[in-house]
Amino acid sequence: MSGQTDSHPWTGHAASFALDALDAEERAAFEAHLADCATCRADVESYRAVAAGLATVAPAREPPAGLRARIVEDARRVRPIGTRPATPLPDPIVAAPARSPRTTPWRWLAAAGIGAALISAAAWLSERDVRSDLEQRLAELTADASSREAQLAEVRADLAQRDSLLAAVLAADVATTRLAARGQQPPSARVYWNRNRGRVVIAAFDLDPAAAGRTYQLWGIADGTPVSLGLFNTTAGGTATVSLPIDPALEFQIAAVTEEPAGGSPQPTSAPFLVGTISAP
Amino acid sequence: MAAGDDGALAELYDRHGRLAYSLAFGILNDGGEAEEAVADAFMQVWTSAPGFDPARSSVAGWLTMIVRTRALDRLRARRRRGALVDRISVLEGVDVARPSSPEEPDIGAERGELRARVAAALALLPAAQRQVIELAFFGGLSHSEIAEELNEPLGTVKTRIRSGMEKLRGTLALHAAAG
Repeated sequence: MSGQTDSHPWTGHAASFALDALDAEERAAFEAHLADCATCRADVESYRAVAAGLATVAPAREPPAGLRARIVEDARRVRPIGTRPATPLPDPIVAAPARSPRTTPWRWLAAAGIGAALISAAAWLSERDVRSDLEQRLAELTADASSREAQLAEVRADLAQRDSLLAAVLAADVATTRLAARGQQPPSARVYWNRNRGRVVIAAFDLDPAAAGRTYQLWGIADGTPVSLGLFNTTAGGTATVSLPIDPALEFQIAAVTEEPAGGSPQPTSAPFLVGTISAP
Repeated sequence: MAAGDDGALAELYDRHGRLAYSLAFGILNDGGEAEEAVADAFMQVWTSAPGFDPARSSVAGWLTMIVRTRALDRLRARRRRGALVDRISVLEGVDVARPSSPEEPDIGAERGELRARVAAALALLPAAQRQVIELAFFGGLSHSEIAEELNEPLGTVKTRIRSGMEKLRGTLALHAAAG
């Protein structure tokens, strides 16, 4: 109708697109063009209004009497009153997969099989309602995701610790001893000494946590001289599994546990209540 | 407007059910199939946007496009089963000089007025242009299918559709506001 639009090479396509009359190849090419051309998008919209008008000219017919009841009944069966929709109507602007540059909103709409209907739908649904609903859900999902990330990091750290513990305990050259109390009564403990890694792991059992202001201290005794291997405490359940770094050059024949003031002592201040002799790996 | 209120669906049907059924019947020319297409379309509205406001005028346009799509789905399925392309005669049933006859069911004042305007605009088109638009809109045929159906060159079909739609748009003054 106007010289200006006639000069646009795609002008002829908008009317046919609005009627869904383009053949597949032309349709795909025009959809790709629509993503970049506001003129053609406006053209398509105006022709869709024409198409909506065409829908009214079919000769009027009275629908079957039962159709209304059937539709309402079907609706009740599909989704009971008051429940949220499984998939809220997507907002074409917000919901279009923006991350994929090759997938234009138009292609996406066509792929969803909703096409023109969706565009009109977005116009009549309160756009703000849809958007704020989506924004809220996005915020919830984002918060949820970061909380999960934090949890995952914790789990990973925990796993790494266990891996390290297992590696320290399960190596071929690990020396071990069972530490027992006098009379073989509980509590007890087991010590794993990994010379290569310079690590001692102590697993304690049936040992009440040290009193407030007190701690347990593990000693390696070489030729009668105790050297501190580190501090530990048990849980309320009476167990502990603690991995302690030690001087790789350190040699000892006996492992022992004493109770000491918090922070530990340079030399034992009490008699050891758990003692064991290291057996060679 | 409550999400999931089937009262809204019933209201939508009360407002536009006749128009929807008339369109589906116009495309399918079969009462049973038209009924199925309309039921499909209302279910699509219900499941995809249960929060619709049945009183909004643009809902009618949305609904009718869904009805058309569902009806054309059935028409194409019928064609795939080997049925001949039906002679599409929807527009022949519209007396453009008397767009809304008194014995026809009421389709609502607003839609009735639009219908009268569209019918009048169609009356101004050359028959050949009206025919290709009819085959595309009510028959769901593509350019090449229309060319085959009419035994006309593809370019002729394209030009007729474009010219006819431009005239309709101009007559109906439905130019998009944005451009």
